[in-house]
Amino acid sequence: MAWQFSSEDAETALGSRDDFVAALHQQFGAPIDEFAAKVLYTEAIANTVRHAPGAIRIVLEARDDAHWLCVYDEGPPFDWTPALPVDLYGEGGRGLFLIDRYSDCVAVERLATGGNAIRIKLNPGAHAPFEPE
Amino acid sequence: MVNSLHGGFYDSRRYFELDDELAAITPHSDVVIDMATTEYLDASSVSLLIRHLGVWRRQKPGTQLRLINVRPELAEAMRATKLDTLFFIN
Repeated sequence: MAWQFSSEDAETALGSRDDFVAALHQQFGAPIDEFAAKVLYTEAIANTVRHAPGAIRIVLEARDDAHWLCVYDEGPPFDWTPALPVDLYGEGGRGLFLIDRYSDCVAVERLATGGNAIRIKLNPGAHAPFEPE
Repeated sequence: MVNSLHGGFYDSRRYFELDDELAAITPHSDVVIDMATTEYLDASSVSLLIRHLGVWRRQKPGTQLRLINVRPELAEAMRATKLDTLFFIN
């Protein structure tokens, strides 16, 4: 475990964004895409703040030659649907879409103890430039 | 008239600050916002921006929103979420 953060108030985790990025940089040992790391951290925490604003635990892990951002909450189940809103003036969906866009993969698990685990596989080296469809 | 934001990294902790900044903007022909000092607008901030665009269009129908001097990585994220179909991103 390279870095972790826990709080009874999920939103306070946003204040540790730079600490997360620094820990990821140290763990990766090479230049990282800081913007992508900040986007992933911010939108993952923001998702937790929306659906489970209570206790949160965040862990940066190195496992299987990969780096994972793991967010644990104590909230109800939520639907992982990383799609843009059908109505682009709509308000929901962009955060999850960006997590999907900037990560290698995402796994959402309902915990036996209650709450959710969101595991985001990071690609700290770089992300591919966006190519319009 | 070019408007500017306080800048930096906007997340949900700065929601009401951004709301106040956007509420202070009066639409003229268009609304132009200089984004040079803005590192990121999270999804909640983008929703707020879209909501204010609706307000500006009710105040002055046909108002277009133009974000200028947007940092390349932020512009890329905005285009990825198709925000360039709602307003101009330069």
